[in-house]
Amino acid sequence: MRNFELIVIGGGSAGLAAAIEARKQGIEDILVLEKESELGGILNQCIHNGFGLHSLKKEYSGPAYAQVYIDEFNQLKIPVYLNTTVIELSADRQVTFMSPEWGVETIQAKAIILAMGCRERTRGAVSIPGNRCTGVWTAGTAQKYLNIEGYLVGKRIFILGSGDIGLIMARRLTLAGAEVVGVAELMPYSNGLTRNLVQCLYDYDIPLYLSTTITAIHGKERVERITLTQVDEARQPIPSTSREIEVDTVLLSIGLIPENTLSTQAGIELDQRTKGAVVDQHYATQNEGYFACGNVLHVHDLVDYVSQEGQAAGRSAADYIKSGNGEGRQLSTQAGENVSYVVPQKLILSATPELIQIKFRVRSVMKETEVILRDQQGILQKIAKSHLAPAEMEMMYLSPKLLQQAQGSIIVEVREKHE
Amino acid sequence: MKDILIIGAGIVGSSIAYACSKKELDVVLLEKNIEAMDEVSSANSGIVHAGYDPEEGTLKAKLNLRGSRLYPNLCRELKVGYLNCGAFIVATSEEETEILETLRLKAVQRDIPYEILTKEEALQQEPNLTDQVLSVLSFPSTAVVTPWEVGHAMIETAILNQVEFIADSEVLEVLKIEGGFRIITAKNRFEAKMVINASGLCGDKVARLNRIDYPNVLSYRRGEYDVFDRSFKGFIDHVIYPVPTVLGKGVLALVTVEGNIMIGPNSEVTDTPYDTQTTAEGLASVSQRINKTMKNLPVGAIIRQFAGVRPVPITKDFIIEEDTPNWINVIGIESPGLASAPAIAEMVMNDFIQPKFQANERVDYHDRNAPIKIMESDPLTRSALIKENPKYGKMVCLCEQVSEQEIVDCIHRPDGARSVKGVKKRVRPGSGRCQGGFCEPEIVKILARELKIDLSEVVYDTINSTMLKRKG
Repeated sequence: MRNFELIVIGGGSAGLAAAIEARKQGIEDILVLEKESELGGILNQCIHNGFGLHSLKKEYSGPAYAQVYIDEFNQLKIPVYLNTTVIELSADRQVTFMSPEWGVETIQAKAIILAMGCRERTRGAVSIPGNRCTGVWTAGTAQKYLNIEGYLVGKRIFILGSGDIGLIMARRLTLAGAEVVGVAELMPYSNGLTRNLVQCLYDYDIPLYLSTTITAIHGKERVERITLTQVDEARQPIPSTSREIEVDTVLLSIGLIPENTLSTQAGIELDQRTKGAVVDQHYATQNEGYFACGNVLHVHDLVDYVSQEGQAAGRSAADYIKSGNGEGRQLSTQAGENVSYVVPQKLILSATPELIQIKFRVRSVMKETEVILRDQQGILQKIAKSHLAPAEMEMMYLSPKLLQQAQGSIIVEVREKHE
Repeated sequence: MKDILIIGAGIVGSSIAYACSKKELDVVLLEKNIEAMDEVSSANSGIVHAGYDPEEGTLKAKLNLRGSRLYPNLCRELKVGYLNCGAFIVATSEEETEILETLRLKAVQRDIPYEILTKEEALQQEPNLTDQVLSVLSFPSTAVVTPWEVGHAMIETAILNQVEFIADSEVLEVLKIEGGFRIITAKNRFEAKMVINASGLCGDKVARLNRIDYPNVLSYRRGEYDVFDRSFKGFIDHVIYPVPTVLGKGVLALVTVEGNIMIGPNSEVTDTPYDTQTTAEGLASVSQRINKTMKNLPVGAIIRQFAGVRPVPITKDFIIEEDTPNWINVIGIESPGLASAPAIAEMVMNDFIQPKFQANERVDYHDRNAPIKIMESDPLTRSALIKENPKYGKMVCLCEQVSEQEIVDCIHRPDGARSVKGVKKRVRPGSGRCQGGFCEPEIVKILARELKIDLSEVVYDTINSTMLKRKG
């Protein structure tokens, strides 16, 4: 069996950044496994701008942002197998892949970085009843048809979910000549980035129906109409508000799910809240030699932070390969009031003074808040933050010195500040 | 003039065509849709029932039992999946335990193997059964198959053995001529000595094409199901039934050959047999009623809902009759239709076809070759296949692990796929947790390439179900 120091599963934004950093940290023996025919991952179909504002200080399209990393990747001559799918992953880091060029092979890694990204939540997962005719797609699939293949999925389109992919596609389809009749959002507020709401809906006069969902899709050989229904505070449909709208296409932008089927096979411990691996601040999972970063770890909204996370995971994997696991007392983090999740779920307290970066999301839109870090005994840290939304990942930096005093779990909670 | 023309390539018509292909008969099989096995046969529980359930003295009783015994060999010949999973009928009250006893007696009468399990024994074998279980009547001979896999394999084998199969051929008119019938479709006309009407949902309407005063004998019921992701294979190992009532077999927990768990069906009368919609009420009914027999269902792992409609014969039994000379109706085939199909074909052959034709065995009859399933091959074979044909190494559907070449193969075999759903039914892309989110564009591209059409001409399931429009 061939041995590698580092195998990176996925050559998208997370995997690229991770592999580049690992190489820069001196790891020679790297192999990236990528299922598509080129590197770049989902960025390749994201032809709109807005990528790199934070990290590259310039606005790129998805493919151009990817190319920055692909160029560096190629310059460093990091080996990659394209068109290669990992079909099996073991707890002891054996990777079985399949590829037209390389056949089937099982290889052994000293360290593995999981960077498989995520998939879209489907109609079946949320049980929208009605006919199962063609005309219903997740927004990302419609994006692929249009931006990669050059085909429109329909003429008169309704979008369920005001997440970013749905908003981007509302604009994209309009520009391509389709009529986007409206966007419905289950929550009383949109889940997308504010700039997308403005640039994709308001600028195109596309109506946004909040607290509304699709309760049925009907059609014979193709979608013909949908039933739009308002929901109450418990997000349950209010039948008397149902009305039918004639459309030929429904796009679903109702959430992303980290693609951890292989991780589960390898016995990687997952966090039920994030649906990604449980990691420490070094992006090491609870399983020896496994690291995770990017959308497979938790769903991101800005690729800049995916790249940053990938870079951190690459560095950690390199450190692990060179000198094994770090030592230190372990603390857990916990999502407290108004917080839906915290990453990392574990903190390793070591001698180094470096600040520890944690990421979290709030459960609902909040204006003026206090972000509180506490343990069983009391408050450790308090920070004021304004304008928090579930759609926008928040970051905080914790000082190890402060954490030295902590016991058990660190709870992250967010409280609305009252006058 | 053909010997036999079969109307309808569902499980019944395909079984009859398959049986005919073993004899020296000149047969044509017509299918209204562009793909066979696309109506009743595509959306049901997939169970080869053990045969204890139907009322004594019915065709259902006789043919289910016979079919159940023919299935293992049939699946071996066809090289399709057959999972002898067994069935548990779960009693949760004293009253229900008494009903189990009546079923047991029927099983004894019909020589069907059974076992009675205590609560402890039942929970030991199936820990996810309801805690309210009192006793279980187990039927080890119950099995499940993938109905369309069986049907397509039968059609393919029939084609290899001289049966002509023509899809997209709705029968519009039937005329009586010297020696038989003239059958007219939109694109063709055929002449045949005998016609077998196995047209499923439109069974009585097609019967009326032959005899104008044929009565309406069919009503319709729709059943809805939830399908769970394959990763929960092993949640149950048997088909789990509640104790049957006058309304029917109830809401089941099902296993499938591929490993998906399913729950359903409910049973709603419908007067629109081609409308296979799921409904909020129907699905809610399934979710609620399954709790009678099951606990711990991983509802977060539901990936899809579907519904199927079946014809309900007014006689409450299969209608298998020679209505006028050489016009054979095989209609009203509801449950246990799938289980009975090979026996139905056998009966039609023995009671109607052979008395007329006395056909010899086909001398050069041969079975089909099994389709290559790359992930079911051992690693050495897999590597060799990929070396010879790299497209076997290009994974197109990650959720179900299907390679490009398997998709190409299923388009080019006899009775090849003509639609995205046709590919899905034959080799699985789109059946997994992402429901085609990743792979559907690739399937569309492959279909376009292999059928030499534009992407905008690729259809999803029916002839007018094009999906895409060229931009600009």
